[in-house]
Amino acid sequence: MRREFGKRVALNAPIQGAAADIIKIAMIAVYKELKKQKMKSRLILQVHDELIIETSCDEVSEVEKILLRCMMGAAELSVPLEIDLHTGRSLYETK
Amino acid sequence: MKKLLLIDGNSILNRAYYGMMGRNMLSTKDGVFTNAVFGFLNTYEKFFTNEKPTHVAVAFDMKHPTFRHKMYDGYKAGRRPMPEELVMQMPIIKDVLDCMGIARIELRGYEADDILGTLSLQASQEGIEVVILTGDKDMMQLAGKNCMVLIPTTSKGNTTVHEYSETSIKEEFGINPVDFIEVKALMGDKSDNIPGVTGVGQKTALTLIVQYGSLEGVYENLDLLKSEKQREKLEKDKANAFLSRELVRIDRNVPLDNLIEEMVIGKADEERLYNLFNKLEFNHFIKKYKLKRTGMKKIELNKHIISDISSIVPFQKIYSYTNFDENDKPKEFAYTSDGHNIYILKDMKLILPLMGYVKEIGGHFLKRLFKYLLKNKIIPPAVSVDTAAGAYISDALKDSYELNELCDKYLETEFPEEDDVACRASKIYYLAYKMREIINENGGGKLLDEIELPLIEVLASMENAGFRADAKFLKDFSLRLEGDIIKLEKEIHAEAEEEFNINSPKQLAVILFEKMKIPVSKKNKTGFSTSADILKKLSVEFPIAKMVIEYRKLSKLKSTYADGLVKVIADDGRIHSNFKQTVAATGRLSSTEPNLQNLPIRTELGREIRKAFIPENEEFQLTSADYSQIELRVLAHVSNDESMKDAFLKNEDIHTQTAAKVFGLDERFVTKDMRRAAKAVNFGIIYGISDYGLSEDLGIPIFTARKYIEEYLNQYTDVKKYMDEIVKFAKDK
Repeated sequence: MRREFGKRVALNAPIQGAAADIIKIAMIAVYKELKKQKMKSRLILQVHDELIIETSCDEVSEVEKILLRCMMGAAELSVPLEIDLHTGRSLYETK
Repeated sequence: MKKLLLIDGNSILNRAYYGMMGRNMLSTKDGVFTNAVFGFLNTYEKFFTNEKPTHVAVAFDMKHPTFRHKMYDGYKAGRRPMPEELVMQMPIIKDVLDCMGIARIELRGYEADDILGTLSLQASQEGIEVVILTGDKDMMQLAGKNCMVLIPTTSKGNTTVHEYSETSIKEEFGINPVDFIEVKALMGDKSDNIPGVTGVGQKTALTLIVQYGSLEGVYENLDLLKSEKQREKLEKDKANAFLSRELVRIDRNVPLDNLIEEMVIGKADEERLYNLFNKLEFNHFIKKYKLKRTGMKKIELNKHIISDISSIVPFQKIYSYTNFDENDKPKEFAYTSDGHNIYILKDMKLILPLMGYVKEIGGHFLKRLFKYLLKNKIIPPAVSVDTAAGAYISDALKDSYELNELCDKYLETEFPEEDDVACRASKIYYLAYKMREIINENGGGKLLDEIELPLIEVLASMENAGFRADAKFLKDFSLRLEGDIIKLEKEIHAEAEEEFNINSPKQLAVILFEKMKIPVSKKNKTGFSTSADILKKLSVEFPIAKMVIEYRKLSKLKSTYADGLVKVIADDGRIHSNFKQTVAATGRLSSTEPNLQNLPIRTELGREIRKAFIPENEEFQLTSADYSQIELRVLAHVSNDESMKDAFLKNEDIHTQTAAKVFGLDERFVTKDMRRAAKAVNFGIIYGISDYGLSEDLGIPIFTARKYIEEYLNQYTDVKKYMDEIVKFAKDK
């Protein structure tokens, strides 16, 4: 399938494929940024359209900024990308 | 010592066909069935190895009528024709035999039996030992002094080979092999439509021949038979008995031109055989016969052992292969920069200093090596190519991206026999170049370089990090579930008025549909179905169905999640999932062992599991960030549908807008149910759902579902245009 974000063969699911590429790009950007800023916070899970960071309590706002910037910037679409942020003491609380 | 192996081609091919038949009958990607040929070759291999013949011949029937048909119109009448899938394999096996240098004999007007009968007689007369391989018991008449008949039979998946020699036949049946002709004449043969004497079976026929020696003997002594009935039967069908004898007698004097000398095993035409096996996708036999593509570039390796730091050859760009032990520690490591000179590390401790020099690495499933490097605080080098990821980009639908398979598929290169770590490093070198070429051609370079390759380190780091899991919480939760399950079990047993194993679909079906007489809506192969959707339908009327659904839900929660997750918590108190990059055809990542991407979310009880996933300690918390409706936004973007884009640009609720459009109302009048329906259609469009699927999801009639989809596509005209293009593209491909 020839598309904007790459040319993956995904005849049945070009849309899913494109969305998968966007989140992968975001993951790489988030990972690099955390590493670059030598942060204690780490990317620990991806669930398709969601990233989970184990965030050091003193880095919360910085991590949120990184997530927003990297995820919004992962693709340039003609419609805005929107990100929902949640924090919590367990995966239960972040949903 | 000469030894001739004679094979009844039709019979063995037939056996192979039915022996390897099943729902997924072996076939090539072009749809040529190959199960019989494959089975035949396996059988051949087995007997060739056991018997060690010097000469081999395979005889086949021809389509033309034989002397038997001329003698008796009804010969083989009523026999089912050979299935189409087997017919198409006939020319293939003949081709294979020719390529293998195995003599193949067929003669107009004669059956394979007669050819084998003639050859076996000739050979034994010349003092050559003969072994006949067949699935046909009639051939037992051919056993003789130097001639053995081997008949494989399969029962319940186990094959045993019956070996019949002259002596063993005498011992077992009390007659000479040739007397089987007389026995068969009396008993007839349904499968060949040979009449024999009606009412005489094998036992009677055998007793008679043992006693009187031949048909003539039997008929001369009819008076002596005690049974009146038997005598009558024999008298009535006398003509048939004598006709049958001529039909079952294998002709051992067929005018064959073939000399036994010519059946010596010839030299295989390896090039043709390779091409043929390649076409048949018989990699097993290509390997077995060590066949090589011709015109292949031959690679020779120059191996160097690196035993200490000072002898490390510091290349900036390497291709490497690592073997790991079960604890994910490297145990063998080789690298190369030219595919020919291979450096093998003697001590795994040298990997880390080596990586100090390396700027770019090529490999195959590099994630494992990167995990090791990261654990040792080494920043992994950039990835030039990962041949597994590259192959995935070229063809995301393959089940496996094993290195040797990729070499076979993409390279025309012959590597040294020994598939060691050095050889693998060389393979990666050549494959990496080829992969680049292919990906540049099909335009996947950006995807590889900007996404899949940089992702490897990210995944390695995520896997190393893992997710802290609260074992105590999981154990408590398991106990709580256990209590609920026992309680529910009691309730179900009370409802059924009997104790039974709820986990056994069979017992459950008996309770529901036999004892409780709940009307059955669907039967499957094994009996009455108790599948989730059946139970769901029944649950409206029958409380027990609802209870079983709940029971299964709780059991699954307990076994897969509560208990299952505790088991995979590592020593560091964290769960390290495996993120696979080359599994999903859609390009999605897939998490396995355990899968952390499908933790329960729908039910309140299931969501509890998520409480077990916590930060390392009080100094940390969890942050989640998820894209809202990313797929619909992508759809709006790629289809360039103005009204869909509009909803997102104005930050309106897309599902409400869709509902308003599909139902033709103002957004203010959209009900919850309408929005739900619209949401289902929106996602249905992305995931390619059918009107049937939508009707099931929403519990509406199919024609209503179809109307929703039609109206949707009428409203979002550019989405429709985009979908049509995709379908067209898929068809053209």
